[in-house]
Amino acid sequence: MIPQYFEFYNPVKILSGSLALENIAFELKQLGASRPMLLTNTMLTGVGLTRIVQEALRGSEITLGAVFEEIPPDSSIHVVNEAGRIFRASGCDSFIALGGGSVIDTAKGLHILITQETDDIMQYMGADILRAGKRLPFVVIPTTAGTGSEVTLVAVIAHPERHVKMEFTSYHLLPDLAVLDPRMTVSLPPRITASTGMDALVHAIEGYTCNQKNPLSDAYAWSAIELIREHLPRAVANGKDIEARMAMANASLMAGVAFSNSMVGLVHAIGHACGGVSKVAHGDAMTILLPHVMVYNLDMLADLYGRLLLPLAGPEVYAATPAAERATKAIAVVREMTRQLSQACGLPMRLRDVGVTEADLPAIARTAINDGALLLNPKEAGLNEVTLILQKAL
Amino acid sequence: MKQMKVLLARSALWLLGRAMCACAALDSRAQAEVRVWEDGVRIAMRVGPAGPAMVLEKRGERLRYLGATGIDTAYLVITFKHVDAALPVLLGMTSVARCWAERRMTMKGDPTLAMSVVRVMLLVEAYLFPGLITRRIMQRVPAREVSMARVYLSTLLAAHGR
Repeated sequence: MIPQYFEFYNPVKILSGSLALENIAFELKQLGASRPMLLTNTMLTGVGLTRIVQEALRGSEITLGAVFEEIPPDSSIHVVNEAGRIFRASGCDSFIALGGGSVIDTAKGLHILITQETDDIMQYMGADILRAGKRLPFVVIPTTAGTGSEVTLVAVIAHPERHVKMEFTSYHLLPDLAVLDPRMTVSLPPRITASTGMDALVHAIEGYTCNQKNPLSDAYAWSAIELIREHLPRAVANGKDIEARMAMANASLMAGVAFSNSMVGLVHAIGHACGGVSKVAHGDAMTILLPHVMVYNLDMLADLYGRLLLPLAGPEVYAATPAAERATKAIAVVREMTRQLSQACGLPMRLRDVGVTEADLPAIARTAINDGALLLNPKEAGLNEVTLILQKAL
Repeated sequence: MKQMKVLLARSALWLLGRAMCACAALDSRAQAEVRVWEDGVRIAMRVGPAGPAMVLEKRGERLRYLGATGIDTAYLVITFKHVDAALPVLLGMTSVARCWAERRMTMKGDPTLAMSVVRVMLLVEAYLFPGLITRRIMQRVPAREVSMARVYLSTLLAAHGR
């Protein structure tokens, strides 16, 4: 069905596959940059990924102006401001983000700071209020296959003093380049591979079913699910399986394109709250909550879930399942996928497995109903419904 | 025609703003939402690019209607991109969620506060519009705690301003 109205935007150039990193210098030159700042974290430097990127740039016309490694797992305005100070002091003209969600969010915050020529990004908190601003080439090298942040228009940055998680949504936050190189994810442990892969699956399923869905986002979401079905178990079982790693990197990216345009819904609203209140890792929250929210949404989304059985389970299972049972079968397939990943690498299946207690549920529910993703879920949910879902997931 | 639409949007914003003040005083669920807003916080809703606007300010337990003044100091600004995006929402022909999903509005400020404002708006719509209209734009229409007439009387006649 074609929506009455929709918008779709994805201008990110994608470099995917063998020696992709080696092409960054050429692309930066094309973008008019010569002195990028590299943003990453000490853990990635410790495992040698920063050195691989530095080596890839060596001998080119590109010189790193600065390397900023002090990015914690949850980025904050202070980290962004410090990165901005170093960026300006080092005379950089572009930047490369090497990492997962936190590093990429920090880079997007830095992007706002520099392009808007401001010292206070808080005034730009919100949706669709950024103007194009100063030109600043922006490269992202994801080191997990899950967030899809390399192609999304969202950044979340904490303001500890004001107790606000600042959310920025703007097409002007999209990078110029997303670089998917197998060397960047090949050393990811199975447990994180599984958790981030499930995050990508949730992006794709919510991208296919939420209120802003459209034929273009559907195409990305559908292909992402097919790739995840086939390659996530392989990547978890054997991290050195380059084909599986690249398939998952592309699946994550495609799911990112999908949800950046159709947005996410109730799984994310509750998942963000689990992270905020009980410090549950995002991918774990997504893994645990997905089947429960699918059951909640089932009466509104039976048709769409039924269709998703095809990419989720493959043509044989789809054809063998009566049309009226496909939606519930799709949920069962998701549960089975989670169970198998749990057996393979210890992926959690219940909220209590990740430290959430009964006493946490009211605070999580109150936080969840204030998450903007709730507005985009096809089925309305209030405090009571969210609490029931949490109780079932506990 | 455009001028008529702008005039209609101006009137609808006036009604919505004052009805939010009325509900914040008369409906316990709206009261509970507004109670947690920071004292002095200003919330603006406007029609871009240079259309009508309305600003609300929380003072004590109440909401005050400030007309179109104080947008520059508002902590939360919800902007419809144009009058044709605003009217269907303001006249109860489409939901806020649908308008948001279609990216016909922008939001400057804290999304947590924005979600609370949306919940108050949904309550207000349940009082301003008959069930025939609200059932088309909401999956679950909030039950009215007081009569529509009481909310309309307060909206039209009470001193919600400074």
